[in-house]
Amino acid sequence: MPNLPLKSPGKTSFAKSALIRGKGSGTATPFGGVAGKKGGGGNLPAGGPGHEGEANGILEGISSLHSWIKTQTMIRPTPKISRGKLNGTYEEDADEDVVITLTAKNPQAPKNVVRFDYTSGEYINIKLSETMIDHLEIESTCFHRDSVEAKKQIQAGGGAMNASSFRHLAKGVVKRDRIISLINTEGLDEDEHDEDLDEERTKRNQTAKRDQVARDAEKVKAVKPRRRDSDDEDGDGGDKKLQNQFSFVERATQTMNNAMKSAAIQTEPPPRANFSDSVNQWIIFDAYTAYEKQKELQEEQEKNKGKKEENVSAYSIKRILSDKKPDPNEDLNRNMLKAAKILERMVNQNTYNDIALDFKYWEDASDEFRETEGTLLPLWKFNFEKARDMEITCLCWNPCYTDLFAASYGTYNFYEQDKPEESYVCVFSLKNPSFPEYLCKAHCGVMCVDIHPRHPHMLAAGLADGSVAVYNLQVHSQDPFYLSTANNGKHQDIVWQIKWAKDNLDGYLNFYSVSGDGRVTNWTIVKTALWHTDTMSIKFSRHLENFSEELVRDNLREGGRCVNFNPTDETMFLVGTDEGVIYKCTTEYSSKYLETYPAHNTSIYNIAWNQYVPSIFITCASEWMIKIWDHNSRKPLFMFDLNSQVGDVAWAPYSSTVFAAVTIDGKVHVFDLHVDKYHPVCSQPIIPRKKARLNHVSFNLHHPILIVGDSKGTVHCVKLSPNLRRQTKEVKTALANKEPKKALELEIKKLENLLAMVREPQDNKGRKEDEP
Amino acid sequence: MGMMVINPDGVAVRTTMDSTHTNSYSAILSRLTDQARSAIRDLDPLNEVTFIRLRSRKNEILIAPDKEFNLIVVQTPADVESNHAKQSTQ
Repeated sequence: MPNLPLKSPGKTSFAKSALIRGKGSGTATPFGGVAGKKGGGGNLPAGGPGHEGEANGILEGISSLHSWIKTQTMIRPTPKISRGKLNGTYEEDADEDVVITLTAKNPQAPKNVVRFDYTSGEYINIKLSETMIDHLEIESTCFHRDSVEAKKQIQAGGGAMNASSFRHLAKGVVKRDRIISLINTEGLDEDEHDEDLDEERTKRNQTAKRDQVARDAEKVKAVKPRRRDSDDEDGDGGDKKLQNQFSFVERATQTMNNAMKSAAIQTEPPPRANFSDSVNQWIIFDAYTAYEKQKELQEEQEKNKGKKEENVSAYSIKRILSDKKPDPNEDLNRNMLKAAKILERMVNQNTYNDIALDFKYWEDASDEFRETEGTLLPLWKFNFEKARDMEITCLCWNPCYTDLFAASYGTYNFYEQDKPEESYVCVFSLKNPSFPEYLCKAHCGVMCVDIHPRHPHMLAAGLADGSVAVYNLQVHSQDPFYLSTANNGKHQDIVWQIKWAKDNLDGYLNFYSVSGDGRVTNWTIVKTALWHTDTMSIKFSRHLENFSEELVRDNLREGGRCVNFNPTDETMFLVGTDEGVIYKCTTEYSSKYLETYPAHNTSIYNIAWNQYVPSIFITCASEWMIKIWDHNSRKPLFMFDLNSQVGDVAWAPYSSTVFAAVTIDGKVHVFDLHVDKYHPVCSQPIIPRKKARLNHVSFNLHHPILIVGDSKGTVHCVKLSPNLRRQTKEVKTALANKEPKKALELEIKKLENLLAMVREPQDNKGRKEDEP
Repeated sequence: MGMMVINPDGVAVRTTMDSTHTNSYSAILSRLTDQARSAIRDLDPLNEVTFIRLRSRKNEILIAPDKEFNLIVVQTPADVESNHAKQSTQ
């Protein structure tokens, strides 16, 4: 349409910009006032409250000037009351209720549509029917029955729900075909119409082509009745039912749900039993060890299976012989024995509780007040019932087990030598004073005993009838392991002393024995037999006169009483004789002596080497005397007179200058040369004088105790008081610093110093006597 | 006072005491030995109990346990004896 000035009578306000409805909404349409002009018809708000011809705000003014600015200005609603107010408050207006109406009128639709009429030569108003706005559009699901879609549906199945159809059904099915053909033909003719009709019908509310609508609507109306009539005519023929949402009936079926049935199976519960156990560390450990053992056993069996092929008969027989079935009773008995032993010890400890505590802990406090003297505390007494009448003939500590010692029983009574028909060597333990741990039987009195330093189960004993016996404590038998017999080198007289020696070159155990028949014999244990070698024979020393033969003297021998080997030189040994002479001999030469010492006048009871200074030895004899010698000199270094017959003498293991001696009057004398060269440090009676004689004495290597054997078959155990165990400060510090070698040297030095005082230069052989 | 030998089930095999005492001692002490052995071996499975000495005011119980049996001795403790002796001499 050409843009011509309007002739419209209506007011147009070009400044009007916005259509504002409702409360306080601020957005404006993009039309400026100028734009409104161009629009070819003022876009006047239709039907709203008139905002007529009001210029609002500065902003509008600007936008009108600069029309190219398309601003989105915020427009404030102009209050109708106060017109000139630009900056007034609009709040009260904001609360004013504004009426809202909803119409179908299209506000945008042009109202002043004109047409130029050439005939009249002027613009003529065309009055349009009111324009409409579609507010709501719903798509229908109906088809016209004659439309293509409908036809399709009918063919697919079902028909229109129609009263006529029912009548037709009642009449018969015959006319069915005719109807179908009719329908088809009708459909063909009116396809196009159908389409239009479909469209119109379905788009009933659309305003797209209003003219068409108007025209077609008439058509529809025209066609419709005819159609209907035709239907009626043919309708009696019956229609197929059409399925549409009005005629469609939904039918549903529900299948019969089978009744639910649950089936379950329950088994009979298995029989149950309660089981409980406890698990500990040791149960696990035991299980593992048992498993290991079993595995080992299996492996062994497999190995044996392999071996069997090689060594069938002999091996299997041997196995059968050796693998005797363990007697369960035997095991039980052994265990019982062990338990009983433990209990026995416990009971003994209970009984001798005080003594045990004394042995461990008691120290004589009064020693502090006594300068040099010491005392002996009596501890236990060891007895053996069966050997009650016999004397203790020898005592020997076990070198490995410090609480074991061996005591041999016999008699010194010359006339009664054949009396004891059975004699014993008892091995006692300090832990059990009531009964010996081990018992060794002998067929006559045992005069001496010795325990092997390295094999503490081997015990050698010398018997009164001259034979020697070796006992093995590991074997649970009381009989000797080896026994020498008459044709095997048995001595012809009492065996006075027996001593183990170092294993010989072949590794066999051997020991020496000296007896009254004058022979020093070396015995070797070779597998199962005892061999002897005469090491030497002691020549008769006295002068004998026989009228006829001089040679007799050569055949006679002197009885030896004791023998002792030098601790450092194993070939050198000392023999003491019944005549009181000491010979220094060597194992290498059997006929010659190295040295002769005119020691005593009576038979020598004991010789003992000093452990610290191996050149010093001590001897004792029944003539009340103790002498200390240096083996290089024929003169004694020290001499002690004890006023009573001396039974035995022994060096102390803890000090180089201490030794002990026992006498027949029941006294024990302890000497410490470092403290007092002349007098004993302790002189104490152990048993009443009349009762018994003390025969032997021995120091324990570990504990500060002494065992003393008497003639009544009792072994007394006494504890040495601190004064007797005195060690010099240097030695103590050396021991405290764990320097045993240094302590040893100090001890040696101590004795050496002492000896140096005593020893005279060789040419001046004055005897240095220390007689009380 | 006396002694008894009991088997691992706690039944006295040999006894020198009367039966009531035997039964009570055996039942109670066998449980004690089991506990003691369990305790020692739990701490170190290589260790085992050698003996148990239970001292009370009136008497002393000594137990030597073993796998297959227990040896039990009930006695008056030495202290009590000596104390009695001392008192009587005074």
